[in-house]
Amino acid sequence: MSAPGPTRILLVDDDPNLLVFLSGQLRSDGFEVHTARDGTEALRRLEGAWPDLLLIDLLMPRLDGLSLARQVKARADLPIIVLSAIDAGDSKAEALEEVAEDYITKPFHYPELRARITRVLRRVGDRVPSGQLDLGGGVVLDLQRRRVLVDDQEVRLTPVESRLLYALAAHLDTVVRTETLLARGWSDTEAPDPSYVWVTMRRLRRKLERDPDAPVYLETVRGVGYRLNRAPAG
Amino acid sequence: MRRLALRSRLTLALAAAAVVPVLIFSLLVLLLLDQTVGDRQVDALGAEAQLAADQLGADLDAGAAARIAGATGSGVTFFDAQGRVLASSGSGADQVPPPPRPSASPSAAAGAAAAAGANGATISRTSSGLVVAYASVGGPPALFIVALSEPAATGPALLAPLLAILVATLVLAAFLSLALGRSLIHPLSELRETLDRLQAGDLQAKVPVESDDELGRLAASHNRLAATLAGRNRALAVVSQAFAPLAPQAGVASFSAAAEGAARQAFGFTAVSVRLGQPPDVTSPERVPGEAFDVEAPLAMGDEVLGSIRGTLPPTRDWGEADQDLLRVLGIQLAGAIRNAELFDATAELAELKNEFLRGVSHNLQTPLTSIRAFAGQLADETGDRRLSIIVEQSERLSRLVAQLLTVTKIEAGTLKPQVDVFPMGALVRRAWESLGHQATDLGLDDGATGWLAAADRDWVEQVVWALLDNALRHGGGPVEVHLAPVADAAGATRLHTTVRDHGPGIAPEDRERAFERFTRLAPGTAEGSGLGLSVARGLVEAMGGRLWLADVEGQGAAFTFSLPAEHIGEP
Repeated sequence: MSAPGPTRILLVDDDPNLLVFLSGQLRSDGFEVHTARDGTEALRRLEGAWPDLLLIDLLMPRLDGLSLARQVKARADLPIIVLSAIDAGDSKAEALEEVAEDYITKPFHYPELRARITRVLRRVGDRVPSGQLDLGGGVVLDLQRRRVLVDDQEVRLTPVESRLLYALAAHLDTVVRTETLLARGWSDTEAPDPSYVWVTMRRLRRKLERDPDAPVYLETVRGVGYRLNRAPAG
Repeated sequence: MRRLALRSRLTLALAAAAVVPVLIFSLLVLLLLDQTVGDRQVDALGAEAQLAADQLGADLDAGAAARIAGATGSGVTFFDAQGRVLASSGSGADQVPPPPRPSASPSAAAGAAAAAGANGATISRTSSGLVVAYASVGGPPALFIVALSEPAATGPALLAPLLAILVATLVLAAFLSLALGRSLIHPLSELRETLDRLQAGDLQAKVPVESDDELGRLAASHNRLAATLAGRNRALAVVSQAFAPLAPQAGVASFSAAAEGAARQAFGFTAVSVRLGQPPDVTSPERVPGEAFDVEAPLAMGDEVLGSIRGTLPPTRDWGEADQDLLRVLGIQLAGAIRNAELFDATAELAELKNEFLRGVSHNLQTPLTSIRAFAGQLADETGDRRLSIIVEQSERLSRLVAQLLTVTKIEAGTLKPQVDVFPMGALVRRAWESLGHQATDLGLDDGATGWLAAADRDWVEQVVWALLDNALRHGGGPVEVHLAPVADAAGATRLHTTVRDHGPGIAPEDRERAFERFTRLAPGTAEGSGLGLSVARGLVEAMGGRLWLADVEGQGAAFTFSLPAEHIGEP
């Protein structure tokens, strides 16, 4: 993040108690917090200034969280964390996958939310093409929609897998350190351990590579980390 | 009496037609021959008798008779004028009746037919089969009479060839009739074989039409029958398959469209329409020759009529009772499909309403709980008051129970989709235990799964472990033990088994499956818990590709084990 000053968060929730509690906590942790009671108010606030992160509730009067997130995403690649009393297995929450960076189920521990915010903010500054990224050899990354196309067959990615691929794609052909990947994929409250990265990379290879034991795209750089390659020409 | 087979009857008829005229003809020929031979014998005998009479003198004794008999080969009898036998010689001569009186009628001779011979001799036939020629010696009135007799001649020499011809004719007639019979029977056998194939289900079986006679027309009309049957069969197949590609959620419009398509294909309608809410009004198809006409069937569900299906037939098309029945079947099928689709829509609508309601309830309960928990947690951190920690723990517990309600509906709907991540199970169990806030009880964690990560939805597994630990604390007694172990499954893949064991009264083997049913409380009289925990836990585990079951335990207590996909940490 290159912008000077504290990180700005726009918090959107229809429960005034939660707004009071969360804005207090976040401010004491050094964030600049703006609040809105519903989606339309949030859009009005966005007219004035763009925050670095949005925290939005899924169920709200007037403009619900999903519609708000879609409108925001249509205008900028802002990281969004959804707060919801409905967990990710729900059909409504499923639609969020494409627009939300992460979600946290209510009720939550504040430290858990702060850890997620920290993790999401780590990726600010990383840029990957908003459309599809063709790696050649029939493999196309479509990270906005959490999927990979292998020979035009859709392979769904889990949130963690897409975060790791996002970090690798932002530094295509460059080694990304295991610790960096760990910090992008998992928040501190999840007791992050390098073994998570190893195992997840192995699972990713099973999805992407023609021969997972002889990877072309996801290369291990021993002792350092991993590198995402394009397929060799020819 | 059983009637003879067609082939035998034909053979007999042909044989009769050939043999009867031959028999009649042969008899006539025989009679005619007989007559001719008889006439010639009479002439010869008469001439011989006359000659003998002319040459005889007065010595009409036995010697003369023997001499004449030797010369002619016939029996010889001499009579005097009064008919008394003077002498006789040769076979049959003693049986010759006395000559008829010349003055009397020839037929008056007893038992004999007499006629005047050509040479003046009188001929007579006796009842014993003799031909007798009487000739007068001296002239008239006769003084003596010479009679020559011979057995009546027949045509024996001609009989044998005639019989041979007859037999040959019979044999020939038999062969001819057999051959002709076969040529007549063959098309009939072919027709029978084809009908057998038709009956066996081969509607393509055709009889070759080889002639324009009755048999040919029979074959042609059979072929038409087979074609009609095949057409009906195709129509029936089309009607019965009309809705096969459609799922109940396809909607009423899709079913109507499918029915219209099937009706067009099956019946050759030029136009067809499904009219919902309109009972049929075409009572009987009024056919005007050369004009298209309408037929119709109700969309019937028992006594209820949901509408009608109406089709327009081209003027050339026949419409029979069987076609009408088939259209009625299509109508009944469509009615069933429409009713199903309506019920499906209604059910889906109800399910969506229920889900919407539960989402609302969940949101409305979780929102205040979030604030309670947040502020209580903040205060607990600031003051260290244990009572505030209890508020935090109990509000979290309430939140989890509310969340279980929402999860139940998702398990029912099968819409659960895990967000798979990798994590160490031991750390997750410890966290779940801490969130229960039961510091008074010990957790015995035996982590035999180091080097392995579970590959599952972290939040869900946390819910499952929480539910199992909560269950162990409420129903069990003493310490709660959790055992983790990687176990190779039948396919050779490694699964991470997590066993939660308590030391309570345990669960009887016959109640084990019931423990996972919704709203089941096995401990009588207890109303604690939602009765959803184990059911939800099993639904979540199964949605992640694992299993949850009650294992056998040694000693007292219950042991719940669930399996999950596992990944070895291994090399980076």
